[in-house]
Amino acid sequence: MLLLLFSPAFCHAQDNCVLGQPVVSSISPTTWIAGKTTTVTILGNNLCYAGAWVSVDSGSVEVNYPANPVDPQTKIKFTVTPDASDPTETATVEVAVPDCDPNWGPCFVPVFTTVQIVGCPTPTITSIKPSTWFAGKTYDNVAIVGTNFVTKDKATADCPMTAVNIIAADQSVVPVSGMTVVDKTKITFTVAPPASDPTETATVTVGTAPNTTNSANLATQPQILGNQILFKNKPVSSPQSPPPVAVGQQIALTTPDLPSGMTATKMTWTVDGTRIAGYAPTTASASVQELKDKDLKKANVTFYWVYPENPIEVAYEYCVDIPGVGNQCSEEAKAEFEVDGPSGVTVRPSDMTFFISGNPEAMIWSVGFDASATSPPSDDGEYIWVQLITVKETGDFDDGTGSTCTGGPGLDTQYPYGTGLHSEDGYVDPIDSTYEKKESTNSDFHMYLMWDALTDGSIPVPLGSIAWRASGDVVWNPTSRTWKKVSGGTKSDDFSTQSPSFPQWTGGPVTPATIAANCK
Amino acid sequence: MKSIAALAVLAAALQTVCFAQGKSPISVSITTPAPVAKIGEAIKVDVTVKNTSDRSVKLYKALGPDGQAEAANQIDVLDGDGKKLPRIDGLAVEVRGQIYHRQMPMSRTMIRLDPGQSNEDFLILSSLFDLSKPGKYTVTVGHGLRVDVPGADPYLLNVPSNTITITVTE
Repeated sequence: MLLLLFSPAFCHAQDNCVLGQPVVSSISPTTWIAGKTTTVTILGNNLCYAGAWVSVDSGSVEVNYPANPVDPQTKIKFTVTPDASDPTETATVEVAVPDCDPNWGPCFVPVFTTVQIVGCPTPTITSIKPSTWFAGKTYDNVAIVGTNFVTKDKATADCPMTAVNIIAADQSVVPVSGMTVVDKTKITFTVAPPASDPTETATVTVGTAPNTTNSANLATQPQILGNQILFKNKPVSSPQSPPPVAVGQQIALTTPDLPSGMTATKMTWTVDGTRIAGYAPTTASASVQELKDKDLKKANVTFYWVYPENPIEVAYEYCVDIPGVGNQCSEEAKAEFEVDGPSGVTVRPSDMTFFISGNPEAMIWSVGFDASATSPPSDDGEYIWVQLITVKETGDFDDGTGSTCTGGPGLDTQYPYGTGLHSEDGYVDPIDSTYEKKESTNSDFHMYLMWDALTDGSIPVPLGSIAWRASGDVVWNPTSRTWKKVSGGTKSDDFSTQSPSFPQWTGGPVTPATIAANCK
Repeated sequence: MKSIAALAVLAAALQTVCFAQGKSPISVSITTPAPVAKIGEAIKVDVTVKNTSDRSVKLYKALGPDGQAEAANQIDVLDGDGKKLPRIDGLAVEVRGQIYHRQMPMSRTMIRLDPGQSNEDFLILSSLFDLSKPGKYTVTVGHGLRVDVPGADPYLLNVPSNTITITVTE
């Protein structure tokens, strides 16, 4: 038993006060509310110098003795505040008059009376299961285990049924429904965090007026597992929208970190549109890195869209193993991108000529490419030409011998071949009348028009390509001492923009030196 | 064919006349930073083509970095005896017991020169000719300016440069 109280406030002479055996006729009120301050009046007789002690089986009662008695002879008054954690129990009030004889004379017998403390103790939370909830999903039968919960049938006006409130870290209210206080140690309810909630902690509050408290006693607060797609560290999944992007722009999508100690058991990206993982052309080589399945099974994904389109959807879903619940997967987070790029692209070949030069002696092919296109709104990009080449040159010498030289397929000389909306190709094949009698060329070219958004990490993407050929035979006329064109010319296909492909090559550029190295 | 050739010559002549009253629309000049070089040293020749006309002209130029001026120019090198030196780059082929160097095809592009503009390029002469013998060599470059002839094949008008002398010493 805990006895708590006070010492008599005064043991000094009181006017008109007669010492005598104290008598208690009433105490009011006889019901005290835990946690509430109540003014208590005791009526009786011989209450001069009387003090009151209150004892309860649990907790404590704070008692404030009056500064002055109301009526020293018949009434005393004080306030009590039973501890908020006190259960419903009986409190004993002892009224006693101290030894007031200056010579420590005869004592008086204390008077005992009882009152009822109505307890409404502070509830506490021991655990919440499950304590991990995916945003956008509904969890039935979430159980809070703790103490001092007030059931519906035990509720009173002063101590109502325990209620549950859940506030997310961003101060948004997490909807709770179907709450049932099963008994004083268990509450069950249904929780459904909105799909738009980010990954964050939540604070669960259980309380009964006038006592409320939160779940601070929980070692780990409940976690809401949101699902968001981030682009440049900003949420872009619905209900947000990403900014417009350009074809070839590096699209690096990330997702928020999972709470410490939690590991995703499955991560799945779905990226619509034609996309690749990379394309890094150099004069030495260029190849397309496909976006593989394994690239789509990570928390973050980086890729490039190849063709403009609006909208192009991206979705992300992940799963975690939630203790007590099992493997659970998030709702799909979706983002719709507007992918801009050049439109209305056409390339028209021009100046397709094939002629012989006498000084210097050479077969010369010429072709020009005039492109037109409507650039995207963010017109910061650059048009790029890239040409692939396959060469075959045959020379017949005047002693009956000869040689055939080949080159490619490969990059024609350099990357890029040129920039801008116009490109010229002058293909020259030297001939030498001092020892040659015939020269033949049969070479194929593939000119690509590409576009680079010129943003950080952007890659060039193909807009279309045009195949053209340079072929012809020339013979030396020793009589006229001139070269004569026997056949040949420059021909091209139409410019194709149908699902344009990337130019790819290996082994460095095709140059006069590499062609010479392949002569037989 | 003869008539076409005649027309081409006529058109070329007319075109040439049209350029500037019989003058080429461009001028070609060459210089070398080291007119005296030791055997084995790289000998650089700078080639400058200037548009001296009152209209734009288009010039062939090697695709790729500067330093390949031979792609658009005829280079003539004479030794001290006035003998024309053969090129030594390209594929060496033996014909009738003699070694020739077969030049390989290459891609060229075209650049535009507005009136008064110049294009500067260079070539490494010692990579194109055998200059391993001491002596004086005279060098002339001819730029092949394309001339378009309506109704006929284009042709290259050779516009010669000045001549410089390079002395190779031991």
